[in-house]
Formats: sequence, structure tokens, C-alpha cells
Amino acid sequence: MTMAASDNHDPELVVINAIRDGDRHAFEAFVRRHGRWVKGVIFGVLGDRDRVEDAAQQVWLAVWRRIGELRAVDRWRPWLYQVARNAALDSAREVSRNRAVAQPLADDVATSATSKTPADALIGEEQKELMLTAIQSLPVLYREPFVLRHLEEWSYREIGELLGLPVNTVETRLVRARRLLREMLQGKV
Amino acid sequence: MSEIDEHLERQINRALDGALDEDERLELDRELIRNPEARRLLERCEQLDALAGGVLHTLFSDRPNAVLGSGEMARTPRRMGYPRAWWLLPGAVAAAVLAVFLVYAPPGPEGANVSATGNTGRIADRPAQVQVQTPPGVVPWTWTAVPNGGMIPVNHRPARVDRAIDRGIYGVRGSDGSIYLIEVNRTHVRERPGSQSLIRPVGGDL
Repeated sequence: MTMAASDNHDPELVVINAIRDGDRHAFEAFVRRHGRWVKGVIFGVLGDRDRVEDAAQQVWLAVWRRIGELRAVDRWRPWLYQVARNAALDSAREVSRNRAVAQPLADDVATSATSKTPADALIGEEQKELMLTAIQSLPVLYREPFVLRHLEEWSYREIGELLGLPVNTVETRLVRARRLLREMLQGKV
Repeated sequence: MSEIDEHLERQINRALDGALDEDERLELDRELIRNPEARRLLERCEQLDALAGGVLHTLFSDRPNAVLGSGEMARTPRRMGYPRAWWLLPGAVAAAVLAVFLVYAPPGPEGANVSATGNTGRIADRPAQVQVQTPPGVVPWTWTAVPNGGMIPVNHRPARVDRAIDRGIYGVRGSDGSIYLIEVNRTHVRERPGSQSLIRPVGGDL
């Protein structure tokens, strides 16, 4: 009941309707508020930070073009998640076509730590770089909830609703994600 | 690490995610007090969580987003079915037509405040002029008989007002030797006499 009431007062509904009517200012404000979340979803699926920006552009392009197709406006969050997820999957398919061989997980961590590109230098410290590489190396089913949890601090229930998973499964995946990260970063961070 | 079982690891994770209830929190606190391995695991998880959160926030900081090019933004989103405000366009057209009618159409002689002169009740003896009282601020109209038996509205507003301003600056030398500049503006106004409107004469059976 509380949940339903709060949904009815979702302040974003007004914004969504304005966007559907072609309000560009509303759209820009919406992008500002949810841009980080969308990038987090893309990164969670893709695990490749270099392609996040491009995929995010595709997401917002699709949102602007297709928001009229959103029937249940109050379900905008799952819809946006699907748009972001599809854009990430499209990007991943493109990568897999261009990249023949994937690096083994452990090698990937070690190599990235030593070979910094100029873009990597912007990120800064070595520990952060190691952590990022480790997150990227997580299997997607662990990485997705992990990113949602750490980027937006979503609860198990919120993550479960979005991903269509039971709360227990979300919890289990987060436990395993942390365990994998500990193992990957043992003695490095 | 070997002394950490699956249940304790889950409890530590739930604590980090703020998902523990009061009883679970107490149970975990007791375990942390007596188990140094559990404490080390909690500290390690906290450290990595903080690092991961920092990395992700840095990576996806809320930068202003150059979202779409102007070409894309020029297109409005496509909506399914009828737009909600479908009546706006026909409503706007109707309002515009009404506004044009109200502004340009003169009030007819059937108006509430009509005073006629020389009317005997017969068509042949129709009034030579019908004066229509208009609201304050509206130029009065007169319906005037025309030879073909009809009447045409005539307003008393000058069809055109020409205004011209001559501006001159003159210099005058004062008794103390100073020069004073005087600006003189002359306004000329020319009005044309009342004109007939473009409305067709009304038929003689009025």
C-alpha cells in the first residue's frame, strides 16, 4: 500500500509526460538526474568502461525517440533499464565481433595494472585502477547487482524488482561478487 | 578465512548493505567480538566496498551530458495513439477565427443599443442612418443607407493617421558668452476622414 502510494507520487511522472510532449528541457533534466544510473546499468552489463559513454548516447537517443511507446508511464524505470540493457548488449555484440580472443581474467587484472593509457591516467591511483579492472572482470550476473548496489546504493528489493530476481538471489550474487573481488585483489589492494 | 562459514559471510554482507534487522545485528556483533577472522573479513569488505564505490562514482560522475545533437532534438518523441491534447489545434483555429471576427466585424444594427432616425416601419422608409452604441473604447459604427436599398457600415475612425515630427536644434548665445542648445520638436498630424468598411452592403430587406 505504501509502495503503491509512493509510486503514485513519483515526481518523475510529470517529467516523463512532459518529455512525451516533446519538452526538451524536461528531457535534459531527466538525463542529468539519471545519467549516472544509466551508465551504471550499461557498465554492469558491459563491463567495459570505454564503451559506456557511447552506449549511453544510444540509450538517450532511443529514449527520446521511443518514449511515446511507453504505455505504463509509472513503469518508466524498468523500461529505461531495458533500453539501457539492450544498448549495452548491442555494444557487447559489436565488441565480440571485433575482438577475437578474450583475455583470461587473472591476466586481464595484471596487464591493466601495468599498462596505463592516457585515459587511464585520468582515473588516478593504481588501487582504483585495479579495482575497476576487477569489477570489469566479474561475470555479468554478479557485476550487474554489484554496480547497482555500489553506484546507487539500491536495496536488495529494488535490485530484485529491476532485474526480475528474488531478494535471496540478489543477496547471493552480491556475496559472490564480493568474494570474487577479494580473491582477485588479494595481495594487490 | 577458513573459520568463516557461509552464514557468517552472508551476515557480514547484509551488514554492509544495511539489510540486517535488530536481532541479526546483535548476533553479528557477538560473533565479531569473539572471532577475529570475522572482524578482519568485515574490515576487508568495508575497505573494498569503499574503494569500489569511489571508483564507480568517479567513473560515472554527474557530468553535464551532451545528450543529443540538435538534429535529434528537433524531432519530438513519437507517441502512440492520439495525443492527449488532440483538441488544441482545432481549438486554436476556432479561437483565431473568432478573434478575427470580433476585431473586424462591425456590430449589426440589431444590437441592443441601436438608435434609428427617420424610420416609419416600411422598407422604403428605412432609416437613413442607424447609430450603434459600442462599448467604451470601441470606435462607434453607423449603418448608412445606400442607393441600391441596402445599408453599409461606416465607422468614424480615420482610415489613416499620418504623424511627422520635425526635430530641430538651435544654438543661442547667452549674455555671458555661453552657447545654449535648444531642441524643438514639431509634430504634424494628418487624419483622413471616416471611411467605409470593406463589408458588402446588406440587402434591402433588412
